[in-house]
Amino acid sequence: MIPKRQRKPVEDVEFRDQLKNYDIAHPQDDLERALCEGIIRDIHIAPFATTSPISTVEQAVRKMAGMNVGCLLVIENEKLVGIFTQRDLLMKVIENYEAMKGQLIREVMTADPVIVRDTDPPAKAINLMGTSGFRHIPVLDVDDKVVGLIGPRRTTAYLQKHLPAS
Amino acid sequence: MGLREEFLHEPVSELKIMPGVVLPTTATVRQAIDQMRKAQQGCVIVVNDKGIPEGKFTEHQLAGLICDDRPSFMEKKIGHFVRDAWARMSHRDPIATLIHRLLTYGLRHVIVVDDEGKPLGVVGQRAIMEYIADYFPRAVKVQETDAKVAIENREGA
Repeated sequence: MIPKRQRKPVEDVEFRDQLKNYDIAHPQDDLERALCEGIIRDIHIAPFATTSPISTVEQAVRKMAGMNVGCLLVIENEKLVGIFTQRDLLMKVIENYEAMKGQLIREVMTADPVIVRDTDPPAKAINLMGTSGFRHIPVLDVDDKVVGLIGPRRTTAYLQKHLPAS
Repeated sequence: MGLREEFLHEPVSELKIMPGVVLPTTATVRQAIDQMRKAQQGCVIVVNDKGIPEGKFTEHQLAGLICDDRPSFMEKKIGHFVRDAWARMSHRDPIATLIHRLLTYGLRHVIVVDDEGKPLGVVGQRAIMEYIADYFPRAVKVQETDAKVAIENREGA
């Protein structure tokens, strides 16, 4: 027969509040509130340029030049699989462009890039851009569908709207 | 003092200014690309023989050069491709002026010069993001991210 567990008397247990030192952010002004409580969907996150992982480097470069964009989101079956940016072009491709122009983008792209969700606060994107140094961050919705692209310029423009008038 | 006042009164020198790669107008595009790769920066400050900035050469131009001028552009002088000669500002100018220029003209980098007009480095959108992150650490730096690494010099995705 299994012995019945004895419950400790409540008075013997010292209550320890695990959240005692948790510092909840209290926005001081409209800008800080926009950072913490706004959502990335409120930022101008479209348009954005895309390409396929089986397009060639030459096709992708022509697309970047033609659209005057610094970044292509690489999408396969409606899912984000990578990102190809001017930095990839500079660091991986440019020196051997003639030899590499026929390669597939999937071979030179940055796979599995860091992303944000459209419901994340703008503060998260700023943390990634300011602290980790990512310039282009794809924005996904809850179904992992790409809905936008966020960068410092779009974020700065959003924050400018929330600067107090005086 | 709020962030708006900080932007209006704090000079650009309060931002993190990247030293920047400085090359003369006679350097080739290939040399500029080599230097950008080594420094992991997307911009070269192009100076004249007196050391005064003539403008900049950026990674943003590369895709266009490949399509327009391939393959001869690599050995051409960057002096041919310098742009945004006006995209420079004093280290004493307020941050608000920088933001205005970045947003109005769609710039990514602005050259910062000292009192003699010599380049101190480049400053851009990322520096503003860092400034905001430092200004609102409780709001920004507590955000959980999936980033595996935080690379100091990273600029691309």
